[in-house]
Amino acid sequence: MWILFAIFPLVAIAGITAGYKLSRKKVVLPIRFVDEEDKKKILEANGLKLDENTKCSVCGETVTLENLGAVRSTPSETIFICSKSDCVNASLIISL
Amino acid sequence: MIALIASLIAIVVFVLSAFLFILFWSEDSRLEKYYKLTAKDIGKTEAISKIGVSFKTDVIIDSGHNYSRLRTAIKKVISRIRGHKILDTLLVFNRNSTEQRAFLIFEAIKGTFFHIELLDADFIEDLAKYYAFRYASETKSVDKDVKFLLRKDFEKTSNRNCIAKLMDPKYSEKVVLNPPPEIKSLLEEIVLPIVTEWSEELKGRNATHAEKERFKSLFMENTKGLCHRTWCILFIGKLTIDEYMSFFNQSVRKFSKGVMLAARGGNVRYLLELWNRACEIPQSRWGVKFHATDIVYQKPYRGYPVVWYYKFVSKEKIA
Ligand SMILES: [Zn+2]
Repeated sequence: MWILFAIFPLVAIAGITAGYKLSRKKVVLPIRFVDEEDKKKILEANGLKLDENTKCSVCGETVTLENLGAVRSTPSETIFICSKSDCVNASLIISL
Repeated sequence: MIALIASLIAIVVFVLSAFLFILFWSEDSRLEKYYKLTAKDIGKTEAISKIGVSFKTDVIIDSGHNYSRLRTAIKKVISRIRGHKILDTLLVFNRNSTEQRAFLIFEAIKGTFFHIELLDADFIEDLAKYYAFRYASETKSVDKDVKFLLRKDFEKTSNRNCIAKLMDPKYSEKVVLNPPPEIKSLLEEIVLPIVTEWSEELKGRNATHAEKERFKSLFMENTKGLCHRTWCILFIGKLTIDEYMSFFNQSVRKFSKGVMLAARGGNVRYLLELWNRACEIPQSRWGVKFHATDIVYQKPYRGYPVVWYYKFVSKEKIA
């Protein structure tokens, strides 16, 4: 009887692991929606600074704190995107 | 002793249910489902299933709730165990909940269209907006406000009229001569299948960038031409070569930029016969020079593999 209790979790773990191995590998993008009031705080926490040379990666317009739509920062580069809906809509694709 | 065990069980159950709640039933997971369901459903659309690879992309949403940071951390760990590649977080500012949902539906669909190589980027963007609007309006679980927003986004696009014409079966009668009965939407039955099948074909051949660009401009010219009635499609089927010759004559006169000849299976030889006949006639008689490009591939039709043959005949005016 007790042996069944011991075997059950092992079988379950083996099954789940095999399932994960079989499932297709994906690219996972974490997205964080940030409200106006948290904007400044989060930029500072991530060490991101805007200056007059900061341009939107989609349309090329100068990005300020007011018209900032999206940001993605990787170790190699930081992408700033303005708040126009077409530009924000391109942010996910640019990130992939 | 029993009291101790009972309280221990209660604590475990509480922690477990809180854990399950934030993973699966929170606002964040509802938003993730928007993305996942859209990508899955749009992949089932026949015309798009060929392109559909967007569910290789997944999102983890942090909508700023108290539990969101913890949830994101847990989901990242799970993704890592599953061997997925996790990108750096994308921060998106000032989107209300309707805009967040519309954004995720659009992104899931764009993730699919993103893989189309042989059409212009702005046309693809507008196609994604069309399908996002259509998906939202056909899906019960999508809120009214989200539907409205996606509809507004599509209505602002410059290719709005062209896409609407290509989707309209009535319009196809204006640019298709001798249509086979099953033509419902030029976009889904002609344009997208050709573009996706040919893209696969070019991949198999390791086509150069220049080659791809050449086909892209041909397909764009043809697609826009079908909208502006400067290109037409002539299907080769059961009529005689003389009858098709007269259709061809008519279309060369009526459509200023070009004619696409189309045939499948056994009818391909009639298409070639017609083209040979057309080439025998001195082109000066039409006052134009023809440039023909063949798009040929195999694709199942009613379960059987069949050859699909499209000859894009562009017209160039000669003095
Ligand atoms: Zn921009």
